[in-house]
Amino acid sequence: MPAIRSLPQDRLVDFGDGHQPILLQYRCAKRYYKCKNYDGSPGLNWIEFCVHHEGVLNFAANPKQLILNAVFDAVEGEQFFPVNYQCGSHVDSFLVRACKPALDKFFNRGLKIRVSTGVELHLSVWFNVADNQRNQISPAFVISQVIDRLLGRLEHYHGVHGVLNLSNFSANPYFKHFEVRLSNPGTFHLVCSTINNNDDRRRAIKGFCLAHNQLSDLGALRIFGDIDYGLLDLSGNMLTSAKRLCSDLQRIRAKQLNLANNPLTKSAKYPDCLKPLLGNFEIVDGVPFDKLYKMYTPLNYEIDVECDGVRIDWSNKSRLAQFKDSKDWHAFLIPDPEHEFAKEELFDYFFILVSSELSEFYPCYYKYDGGEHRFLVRDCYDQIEHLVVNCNLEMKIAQLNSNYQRSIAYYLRMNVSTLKQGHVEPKQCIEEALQKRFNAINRVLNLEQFQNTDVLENVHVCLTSARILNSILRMASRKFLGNCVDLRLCNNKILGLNNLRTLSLLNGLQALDLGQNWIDDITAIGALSEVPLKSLRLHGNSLCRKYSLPSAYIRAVKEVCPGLQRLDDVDLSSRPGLTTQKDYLCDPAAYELTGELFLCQFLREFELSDQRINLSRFYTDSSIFTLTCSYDIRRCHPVKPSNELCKRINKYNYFSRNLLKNSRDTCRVHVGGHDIMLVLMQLPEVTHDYVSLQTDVMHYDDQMAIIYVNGVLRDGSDLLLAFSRQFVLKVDANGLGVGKRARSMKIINERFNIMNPSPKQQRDAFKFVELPMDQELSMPVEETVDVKEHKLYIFQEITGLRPKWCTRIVQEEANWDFQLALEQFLRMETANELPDDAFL
Amino acid sequence: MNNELKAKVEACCRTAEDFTRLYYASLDNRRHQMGRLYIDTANFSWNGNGAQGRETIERYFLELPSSRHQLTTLDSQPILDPAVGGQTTYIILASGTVKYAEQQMRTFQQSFVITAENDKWKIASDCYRLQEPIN
Repeated sequence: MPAIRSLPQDRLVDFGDGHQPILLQYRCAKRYYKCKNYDGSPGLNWIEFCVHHEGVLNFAANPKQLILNAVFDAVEGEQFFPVNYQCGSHVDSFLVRACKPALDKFFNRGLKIRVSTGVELHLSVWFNVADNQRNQISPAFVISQVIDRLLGRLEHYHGVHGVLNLSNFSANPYFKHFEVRLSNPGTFHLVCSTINNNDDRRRAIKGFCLAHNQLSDLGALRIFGDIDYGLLDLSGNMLTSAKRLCSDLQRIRAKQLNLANNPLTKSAKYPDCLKPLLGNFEIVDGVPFDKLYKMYTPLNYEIDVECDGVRIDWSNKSRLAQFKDSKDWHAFLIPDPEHEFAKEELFDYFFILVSSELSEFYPCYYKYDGGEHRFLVRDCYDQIEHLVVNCNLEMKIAQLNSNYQRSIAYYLRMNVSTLKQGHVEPKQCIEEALQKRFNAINRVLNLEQFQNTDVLENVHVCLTSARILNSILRMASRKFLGNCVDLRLCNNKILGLNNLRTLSLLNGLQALDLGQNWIDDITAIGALSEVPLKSLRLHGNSLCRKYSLPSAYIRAVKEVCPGLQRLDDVDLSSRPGLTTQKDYLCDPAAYELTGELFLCQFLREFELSDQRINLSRFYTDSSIFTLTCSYDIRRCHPVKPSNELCKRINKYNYFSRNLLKNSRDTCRVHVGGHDIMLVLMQLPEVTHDYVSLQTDVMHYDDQMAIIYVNGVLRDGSDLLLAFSRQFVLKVDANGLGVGKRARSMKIINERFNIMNPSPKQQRDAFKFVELPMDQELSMPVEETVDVKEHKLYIFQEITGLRPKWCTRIVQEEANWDFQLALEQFLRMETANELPDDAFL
Repeated sequence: MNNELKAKVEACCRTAEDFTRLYYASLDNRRHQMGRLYIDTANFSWNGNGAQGRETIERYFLELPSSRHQLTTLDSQPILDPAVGGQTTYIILASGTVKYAEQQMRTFQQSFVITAENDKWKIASDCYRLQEPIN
């Protein structure tokens, strides 16, 4: 429905670049708005599009792009070149001509476009708004000029000479007055046929770079089929459908294909979905096509360990010599039909045999298959010879409970495969991993759990081997020279840094973390004397356990590193042996006493009178209780203590026993649960500051425990007191609970002591709040696989069930709720639901 | 409280006084003899820093700055339970003030478990806590 209200002003569009200006006159123009068809033919004159966005996109990041995306969506692949795009506060406008197919699409939609944000915008279209004249701007002509120019300037790109560079084509400076998008199939077709029609120059083309063009449809490329190109770079586009890609490229051939950064490459089916193109391209994103698989290992695809290579076992060891100069892969096959050893464990045992004198040994492509641990190595004949001749192809497994040493006989397959492009090169992977682990800003080389670097997925790098560690550190020194100040080697099963002069190469090194390794003697890190270290961590190595006193440990380490300022994160200038430690446990198992088993429960119930009465269960007829109060009122209130305060303190003083004042005081010794509860119930209600608590467990065995606690508590709401309690506990009953390991405790002796809080205690008291226990538990915590595995393991230990049954009960029936699982087990056992063969 | 128990408690009081007098005199003046006061397998915690065994404990003391202890309270109880194996065993709590070298005065408390070994009182466990940390 044509509609004309007040006519816009006529205007002249002059690009100032030699093109004849376009004179827009609205007198003879015809406007269409909200309608589905037009009269007659659009003709060859200029047509103006007005996009009535009314400012709804004003806050979008790039309203023009959003509108153009919607416009190009609407034309559904028909050729379309908006000229002189003008942004306005309510209306954006542009000119087009000679685009009937596209125009029809707009009318089919009722002159509406839909922006990706979901907004619908109306268009008004002025037909015949300006005459078409020669020498006016013609997008198709400019494009052909640009292509001609590019054809004259073929580039050297990704190792291929003669590449036509169409990357980010829209951004070409010649297109500043109109919009060109290769993602518009009509445009792409025009571009491709323009290239193809240039008979003289198209033969020189050895490749195409089409990166960053938002391409999703490659149909236009078909005209370049059946020719052998060097490169097709499609990276950074919007290729989503593998099916369409494979059909569009069906006849396209190129040595290299680049597909990186397309939605397609992130899909789950990638790279299997590219199979139809296997014959067309040799290398995809730098990786040989047949090795594109994420979990690629030659053991899956190329090598058949049943028949490839030459088997070497105990019977034909002498044949090994013929492989002395082989550069091929050799397979190690270690039988373990029950899969008793995990990968990590297997290599721990295996590397005991690997000689630290001989060449570096990097097992690659480890895999457990067919009841065997399999991995490949190359370039280490001397090690293989050592393992065959000296170690007799046997892996020794230490047994915990006997002197007998188990050994597993294994065999090799030599020359199973040649080294092919795309196979891992351990040294390169390590180099890459080092680069990834180095932070140039704070100059930290963090090699914590080095094996877990993702580029080392297919290479086992065992830092237990001094030779390998040495080699890696040398590589690091070469790469980062004096740039590294902080080297973290924790959690790497390192045995030592002895005889390593390499660290001194990292001569700027100030901090070294060797925590959680396997260093068992200070002599194993003697080489550190050559490094001017300021900070060293050795915590978590068995060497630490050799020293019973902190000072002896510090002295021993300082003998190696005299300049050390920090050891295990403790400032050595602060007299570490004298630093207060929060808790002391004479036996780590005693930890249970300090928590819910006894201490926390006792203190919590003591706080309120109505719960305090329940504490009577801890006492027997012969329990003894005394209380001392040394609270000096004048110390906390030097001016004039109030009467009320004196009364409150006297509640404690009344029961206080002090042998220094009354050396034969037997009256204030309370014996038996009844008498003790009489005293306890007369004491005020209190709140403990659980963060302030310091505990010492001085004795812990299967009969008794002695536990001390001190900290601060609040009497009522305002009176802060320092307190300590001493408990002598005896085990009252054993073998409680599902695990039959729980015990119940009774108090034999108890002492309660009240003192003035120190200035520091007053300052810090009740500053921090611990989360209530149940709240912590109710938080939905996604358990890691480790925790789950651990649960299964413990469940198996307790119940003696076979793994299958453990999984069934713990995972399927109890959904990892351990208590539920144990209850379920007990129920099933009582109900005789567990067959004999359910047990190990 | 029956007479038998009363006698035990009174004996315990006497021992506590005698023992602490000897202990703090040794600690402040004769550090090198501290080891004698402990049984071979004694447990020791000094502000949470543990040491086990007579020799280690004595060495730990030798590293501490010189001290001057002053008691303000003392209390003790006999451990009567058969769990201690019929050996006379007492717990003692002492608290008071201490001055280390040139440092300010601090409050401390100390809990002992002592036991009779060959007619001598020896410490089975010793737990020392300062209320304000030392700098």
